[in-house]
Order: sequence, then structure tokens, then C-alpha cells
Amino acid sequence: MTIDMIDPDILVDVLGAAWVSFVDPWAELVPGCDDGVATVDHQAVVDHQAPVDHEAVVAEVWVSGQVPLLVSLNLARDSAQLVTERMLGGAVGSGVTEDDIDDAMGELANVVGGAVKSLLPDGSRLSLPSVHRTSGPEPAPGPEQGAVTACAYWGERKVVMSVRRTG
Amino acid sequence: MYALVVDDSRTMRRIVTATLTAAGFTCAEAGDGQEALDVLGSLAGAGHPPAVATVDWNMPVMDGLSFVQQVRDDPRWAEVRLIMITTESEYSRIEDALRAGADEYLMKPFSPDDLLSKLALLDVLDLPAVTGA
Repeated sequence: MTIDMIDPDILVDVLGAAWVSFVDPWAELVPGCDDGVATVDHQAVVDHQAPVDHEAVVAEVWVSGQVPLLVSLNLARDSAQLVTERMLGGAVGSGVTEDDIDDAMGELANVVGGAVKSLLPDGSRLSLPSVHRTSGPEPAPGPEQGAVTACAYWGERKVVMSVRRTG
Repeated sequence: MYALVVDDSRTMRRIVTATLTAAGFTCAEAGDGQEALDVLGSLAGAGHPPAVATVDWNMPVMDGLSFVQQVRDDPRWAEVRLIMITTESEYSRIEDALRAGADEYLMKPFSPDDLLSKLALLDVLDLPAVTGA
């Protein structure tokens, strides 16, 4: 088992399923790591006047076992806030706490991590999620040794997922 | 009818609780297995033992599998139906959960209908009455 066997499309599919179930049943994620703007019409995104910033929320889960991995999910903070509002069933701009955002992003990372783990040899274990913030532009996805990166757009909002070997 | 929602994620508890409440359940919540055992006792003490508990697997303090084992080892909770709701999808893990005493198993992500179908399978929900079918 090498990390190359993890298809980026699988990551997008899994997150897309979680998106439909927990975030937005009417808008699907559009895969793609380019900087083009997806064409999915999403009124909530259009209406949401969140300030533009470069702070990102990074949610991570570790998979231990024969193939130790780190699975991470990276969204701009304002996108993470909107996603959290949706997951908690509130209206856009209803107000969520930083803890709410951490919890919601951690749960999404947990779902993606669980799917990745299912591709690994039996006996692998998933950690509890960990969430932290980064400043500056979101990392540009690209070829990285020992890592698989996938991106998807929710309207104009970008979600970056990565899986990398940790041992 | 009462239900107990056990998950360390507040977000997931909110999502599950919303579905169960819409189906007519009164929900109590717990963030780990140990807290869930305490809440079970409180609900029973108040005369409202839950008909069903949804249980996450990976939680701090006491995980879902240990919770299921403890519930099944206690005859007071013999009537409580247990649904594991988790990202653990390997066949061996499903076997572990069912062997420990879980009645049903639901993988994340899931839709509200997925959860309601599991409740109907366990005879704790009249699904046609909910869906209007």
C-alpha cells in the first residue's frame, strides 16, 4: 500500500457525501484544484458578506497502523464559519463560536479520515480530530512527495484536502 | 419517547438530535460513554428510560464500543436499542460492534432518512407515519 493508491477523487467523493448530508443538501462540491470559479449557483454564498481574509482553519486526524497518515481539511475561516452555520442548522450570519467552528470542521475531517482509513490494512486506527488556525494564503496544492491533495469548490469557496505519510 | 444521543462532537449531536426531535423523540445528549451512562441513569431515575441510543465510536474518556458493552452487561438497559453511528466502516469493526451488543450500525455520512430507517428497523419508529407514505 502506497499513498499514491489514494485517489484524490475518493477524497472529493467522501467530502461531497458529507456535504450533502450535513452541510448543504442542494449544492454539490465541484472538484478541481485550479483557481477557476465553479459555476454552482448557491444563494447562501452569494448573500453572505463575510469579510475576506486569509486566515484558514485546518482540521486534522491521524491514522495509525501499518500506513500512518495525516488527513487534513483546509478552509478559509469565513468559509468554515458558513459551513458551521449550515451544519448547526442556523441561518447565515446567525453567529457561531470559534469552538463551534472547530467542532464542525473536526467532524468533517473525521468523516474524510474514516473513509481514508477504510482503504488501509485492517487494524488501522483513527485519532480524535485536532483543529488549528493558520494565517496567510491557503497553501497552494501541488505535487508533494508522500502526499495526495484534492480540492473542491462549494460555490466560490474552496476546500483543500490532503493525505500525507507520517512515518 | 426518549432518545439518548452520544457523540463527542456537538455538531453531530445537534444533527442527530434535530432528526430525532422531528420524528417525535425527546432527546438527551452526552459527549462520551461515561457521561452517557450517567445520563442513562438520570433518565431512568426520572421515569424516562430511552427507547434508543445513538452512539459514536471514537470518543474521549469512554469510547462507544465500551459504552455498548457496559449497557449490554447491565440488565436495567436490556430494552434500550443501540445504534452505532460512526466512520468505522471495516467489516471487522462492524462485527465488533454487533458482537458487543449494538443493534444497528450506521456509517457517517448519513442522511436523516438513513437514520429514520434504522429506527424503523428497530421498531422504535413508525416510519410510514413519519414520512406520510
